[in-house]
Amino acid sequence: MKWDRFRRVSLVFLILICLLLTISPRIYGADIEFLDQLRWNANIAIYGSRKVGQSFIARGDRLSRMAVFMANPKRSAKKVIFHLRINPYEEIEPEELQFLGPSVGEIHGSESTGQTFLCSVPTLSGIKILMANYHDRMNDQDVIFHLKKSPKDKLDLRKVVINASRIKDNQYAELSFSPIYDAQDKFYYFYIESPTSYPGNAITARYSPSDICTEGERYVNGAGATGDLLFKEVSETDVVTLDISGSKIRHNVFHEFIFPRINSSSNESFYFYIESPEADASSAVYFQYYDSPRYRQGRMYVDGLPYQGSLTFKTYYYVGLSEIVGEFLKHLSQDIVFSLFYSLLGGFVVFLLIATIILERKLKKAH
Amino acid sequence: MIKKIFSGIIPLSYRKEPQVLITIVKWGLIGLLLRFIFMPITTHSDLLSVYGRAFYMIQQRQFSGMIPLLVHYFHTVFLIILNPFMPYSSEIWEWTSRSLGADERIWMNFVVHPNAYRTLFFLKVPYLLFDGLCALLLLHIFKDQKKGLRAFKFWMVNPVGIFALYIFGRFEIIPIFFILLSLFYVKKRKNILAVLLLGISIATKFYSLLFLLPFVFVVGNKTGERLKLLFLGLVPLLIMQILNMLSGVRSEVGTLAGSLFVDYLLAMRFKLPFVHDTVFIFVLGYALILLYVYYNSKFSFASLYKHMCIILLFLFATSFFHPHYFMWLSPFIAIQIAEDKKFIGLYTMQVLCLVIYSFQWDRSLAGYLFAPIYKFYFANVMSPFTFISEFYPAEKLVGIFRSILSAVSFWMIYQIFKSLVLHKSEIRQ
Repeated sequence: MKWDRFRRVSLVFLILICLLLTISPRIYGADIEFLDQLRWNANIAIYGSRKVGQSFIARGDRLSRMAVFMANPKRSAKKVIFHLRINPYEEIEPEELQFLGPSVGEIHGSESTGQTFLCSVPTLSGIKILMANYHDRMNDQDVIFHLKKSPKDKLDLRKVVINASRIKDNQYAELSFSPIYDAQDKFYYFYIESPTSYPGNAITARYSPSDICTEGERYVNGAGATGDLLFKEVSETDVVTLDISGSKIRHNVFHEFIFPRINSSSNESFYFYIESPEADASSAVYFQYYDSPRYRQGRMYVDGLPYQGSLTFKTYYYVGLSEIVGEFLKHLSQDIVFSLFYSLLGGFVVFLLIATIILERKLKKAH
Repeated sequence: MIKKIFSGIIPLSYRKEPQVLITIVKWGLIGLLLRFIFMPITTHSDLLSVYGRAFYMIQQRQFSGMIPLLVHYFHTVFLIILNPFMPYSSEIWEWTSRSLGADERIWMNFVVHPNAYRTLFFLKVPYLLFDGLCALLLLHIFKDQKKGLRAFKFWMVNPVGIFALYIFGRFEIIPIFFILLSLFYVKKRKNILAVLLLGISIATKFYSLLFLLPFVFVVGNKTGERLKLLFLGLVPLLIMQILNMLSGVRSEVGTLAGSLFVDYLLAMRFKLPFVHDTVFIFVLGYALILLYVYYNSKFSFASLYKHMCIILLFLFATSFFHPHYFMWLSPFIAIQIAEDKKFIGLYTMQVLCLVIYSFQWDRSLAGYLFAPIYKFYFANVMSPFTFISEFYPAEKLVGIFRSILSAVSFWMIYQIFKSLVLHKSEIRQ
């Protein structure tokens, strides 16, 4: 009888362990899927020198793959190249932004403003900072940009000097430097200063009071401050380049392009495009798209020029267990009274259960 | 001491032996713990919708027009009692000024509210009370300790109940409680009270109407008595109909006739190629069951619950249904399992099939339910349906398991029917 029970319990445990192993990737974290644009009513062939792409805003950190709705009616086997890079097109002009953010104040004398960030591109060749010149005021002093490994580091990795007259009001100012290779997933710190500027002849930068750069911190005069500067990384090279055979692209299904996770991708504007230089019109693969601009966070491009429509695509981001647990605890801590009540109640039930089990065993022994 | 505490709520036969009492407490606590885990962290928009309408009724002082009206009255009372624990409640129900149903946007806005966990926990507490009462009723229905304990244990860990009430957050337990209470009084031969309780169940959820005729045929001996029982069974629904008619908004019976639920029942059919000739499978089967009950019934508790169980099994085998509807079967299966252990295995098969059947609702019955934990992740995590679609057409898999669910349901009908015949021959002997 006991043996039977043991076997039964073992079997249940075995099934539970198998189930747990099966769903474990879902438990410790998984890719989440954003259905960015799912409609389609037209298609565009990709062949020869034609490059067809779409810009988009990443919805989260750790962008890990993209699925694009494609067609391959002639079962083309020609090489298809997928490129993903930081959006080189400024489709969201600062004026269009709903909120520009407050300014850090005039940057002059010993004052400086900076930001740490986790680089999301393999090759970093510049930083764009949202700056302002006080309603097109004529400022003529030099502004110095420093890039370091950390705020404590004394050595500049890159230094760029730009005259304040070149900084436009409420526009991104691009500070380009010689590329830093293998920069992805490394922390950097940049700051700007203008020792020769003085009040009335100085520029400023804009920042977001809320934390929009999850892996970075804003600095004022070398000390940490709330919010983040409004900035973008510049990279002339692809973040991702994938060569695939056209034969892998099936007809009228989402084709997935999987690449190493881009850790700091949240709110970053990316641009992906596909080319198939070896193909001709008869062996082209197709992108399916919707012929009106349904996707407002980006634009469709053909050969680098804006095109009427939105490609049909989905994006995927990895979310780990620690993030889920962290957010859950954060949410729970917003209602401390209930959290305490719930914990006490749960604890009391567990205590009673243990007491009952002990009592049951004692009674069994007594019998 | 334990005996004293439980003297009022647990029947005497279970209180004789402390070991039995301890077992009841143990399983009760296990069930409570399982329910507590899910209560604050999961929800479907349906829970918000029904309480939202209750809030609207309190605010607007408009106590008619909602269908089914009685279930909204229940939720109005719950909300009046719960409001002191939720001082921020007007913030939560702000959307009721624009809409009477919570859509996906309202649902996802709610889950990030700082007091979402507290709200969900308290909104489900009334269901927990009804749930507990149902478990106790099962003990009262059986005098045999072993059978009662088996039904009680099943009730406490029944995954379908936990899903429907605490994960999905549906009020299915209210009609179920009244059905169980009705069965309890049938056993005590208090037929009038029993049929009135069944009537309350009908007024809270229309599916219980399917049980009224079998109830009347089994419980009533003569035509006059049967007509009286039929009328009494419809009284609660008629009262609600009058209340709703007075407001001139909507008709309870009219809504029932035009509800989607009726369409679900009529979905499986044979269309004959002449004029409007159609054979509805559910209606055919239901009519056959009724005829059988009419010509073979003699008053017995077993005969009544078995026929009710057969009707529901036939419904799930032949009609489209939402996964939480499956909880309707729980009280009958609990009683059946208490009588015959082999139904545990069959029910487990049904539940496994039901899990896969529920995949067709995609994200709304997968990650969305857990969105209060972390919306960004659970509202966007790939649903099992999409995941399966990467390897095999998910709709086919769902169809396969749905067919197995139907097959198991038919097999259960056969088994119950067999036991019913046996039971009748025993009575005759």
